[in-house]
Amino acid sequence: MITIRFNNEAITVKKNHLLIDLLTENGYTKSYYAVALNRCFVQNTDYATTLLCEGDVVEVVMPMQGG
Amino acid sequence: MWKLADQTLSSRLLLGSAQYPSLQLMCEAIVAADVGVITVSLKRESSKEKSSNDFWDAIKALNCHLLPNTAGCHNASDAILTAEMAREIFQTHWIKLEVIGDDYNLQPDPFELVKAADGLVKKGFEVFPYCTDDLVLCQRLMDCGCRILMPWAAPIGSGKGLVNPYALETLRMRLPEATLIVDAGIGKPSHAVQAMELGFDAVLLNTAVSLAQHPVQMASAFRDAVIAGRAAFEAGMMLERNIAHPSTPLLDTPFWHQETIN
Repeated sequence: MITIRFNNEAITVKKNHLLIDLLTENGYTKSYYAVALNRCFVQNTDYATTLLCEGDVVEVVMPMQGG
Repeated sequence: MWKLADQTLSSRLLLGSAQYPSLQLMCEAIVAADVGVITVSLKRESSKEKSSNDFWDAIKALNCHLLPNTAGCHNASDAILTAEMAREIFQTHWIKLEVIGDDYNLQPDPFELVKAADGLVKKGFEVFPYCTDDLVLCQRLMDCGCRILMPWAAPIGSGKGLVNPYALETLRMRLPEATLIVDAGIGKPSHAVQAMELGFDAVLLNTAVSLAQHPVQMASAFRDAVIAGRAAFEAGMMLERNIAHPSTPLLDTPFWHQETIN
């Protein structure tokens, strides 16, 4: 198991866990969100090939009102 | 009709989607304002509280062009990251670039702004930089490839109106090829008229509508103000004069008036 931070919370996932699996397990299945891994943008086409590593920081952003 | 980047629009008013008393009032205000462009933003998800889809569903139903912003960014790298995420979510290469340098008056950081604009233009974005009214900064932004500039009228949310009309007028005069949009500080429709009379291409505002006692009514007022200001600019306004000139021709006035004059 490895420990990562997901949406500002420490969680453990199995080794060699894919980003797409993390997102799916947490209910992110529709298209209106974007993801940063260690403060770098990850294109949605890369979710299925991005392996998570110990200490990774994954953040999901969503649309909101703005001026 | 007018051209904003790669889009042809009818309205010269751009409206923010924040701070409305309800989602319903936001939608009604946007419809009343008859705008073609709405600004939106991004937020980090919290693992404890998942966002609802209500806002996204409401915005999509309005069928407007979306202009995502990079609100909350204080440096170029954060702004670029936010812009890339916004492009994927909103499916647009338009980005309202905000890089804040001072938290008291939310004044843009000109140095990080230019750096971010340069990076984003190279990544294929149409950058709408929220900037101050500094002429040289605006020139530097254009040098990076920005075709649109969004100088403030006054600090965001202050409602003070055009604090420095001279600087804004200078921008219009010195940068005739730029699309100029006054962004931030507009408090009432007369401010929007003033900006449009100066020859600005459009006005972007949010708080003046969303915090009005009746946002939908205020949205209509701003719609009409922007139309009036633009029409006045296109009509060509008379020059101000220091002495009075009678509006009514004095020639052939009734003889008793002429006797008095003589």
